[in-house]
Amino acid sequence: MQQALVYAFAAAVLGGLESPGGALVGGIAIGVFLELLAGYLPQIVSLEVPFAFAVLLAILLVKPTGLFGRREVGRV
Amino acid sequence: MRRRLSALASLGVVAAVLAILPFTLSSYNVSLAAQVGVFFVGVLGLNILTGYSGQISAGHGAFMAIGGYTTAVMSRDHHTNLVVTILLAFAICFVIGLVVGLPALRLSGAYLALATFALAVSVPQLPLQWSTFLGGTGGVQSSTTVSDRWIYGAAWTCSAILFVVAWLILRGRVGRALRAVRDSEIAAVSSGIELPIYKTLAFGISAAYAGVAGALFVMATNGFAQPAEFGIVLSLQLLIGAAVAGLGSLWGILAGAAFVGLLPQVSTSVPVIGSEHGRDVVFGLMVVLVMLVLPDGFAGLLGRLRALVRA
Repeated sequence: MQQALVYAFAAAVLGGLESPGGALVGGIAIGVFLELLAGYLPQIVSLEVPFAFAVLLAILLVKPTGLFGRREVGRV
Repeated sequence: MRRRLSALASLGVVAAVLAILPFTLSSYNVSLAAQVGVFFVGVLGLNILTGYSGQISAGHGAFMAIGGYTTAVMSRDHHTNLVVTILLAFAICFVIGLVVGLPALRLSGAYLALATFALAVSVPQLPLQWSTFLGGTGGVQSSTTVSDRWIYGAAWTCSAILFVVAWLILRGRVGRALRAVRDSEIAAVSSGIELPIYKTLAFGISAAYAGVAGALFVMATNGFAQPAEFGIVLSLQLLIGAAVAGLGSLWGILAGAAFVGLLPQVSTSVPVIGSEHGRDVVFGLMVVLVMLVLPDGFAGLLGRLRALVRA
């Protein structure tokens, strides 16, 4: 159950946090990526959650807005 | 001056009571009190991060896991003295905390909470992958086990040392910088505070504290480090402990640690609802109640009492 939350958050961030369409794309992308990972590299199957976490960190570091998110502009 | 004297006096009283306790309590109660000491260290560390630098972490159980596994593995493979393994856990978690603190610079608020939450879910998966080295679901058994009284002494000695260290760090320049960062990052930067340095430093120190807590935690569970013990519940307990203690103050931590360390055990003996599952209900209800009555935690209560006495 907690693991699903990690996948969901990674998917939401990948798609862009305030973009509903992005959530759909992100969710499918993360799901397919993790299933392929588990299928082709069965020896690391228990690392699925850490990999989702790595994807999450990578997106936040490289492209914090995700695929379809907009950059937030704030007034100081 | 007078305020500092009364603070020192109350610290002295608490220390004296804690020193006498193990000789008057039964063995089971000593182990419970040791558990409180373990949480004291963890909550103290989390309070430095969340309370002083304003970075929320829902994943300090991950650092406790790393510290705990450090102790268990070093003891199993090299028969290292347990006190040395505490220092090792401190050092390793400090470095890992700095590394985790770097990506955390990009995040704040709910995003940081979720990312650290993901960290807490991820780390207990690692022993399942490298099961020969980290023992899989069965866990790692350290080569030496210690008595309840030994753990009690170790836990509260660490608590005392780390409390003084935290107090010394937070009362001076660093503490002022961290509070400035928490209150307004932009104002802090314009006052010449190096934001990345202080934020990662807070993460490192806080993770190191959690590592010590994890090492003590493993010793308190008969030297057994198990992935299930370091689940997300542990991280949430630390966060609840810090909130109940009062964020941004060191004076309520004893109450916060006692709250999360004792309540789950005590509430199992409540009649009717105090069964295995009722325990979680009681715990949740108490958290809601305490946060309703004391929104600033026990530190806030102490502050209000002090104001009453003075008036």
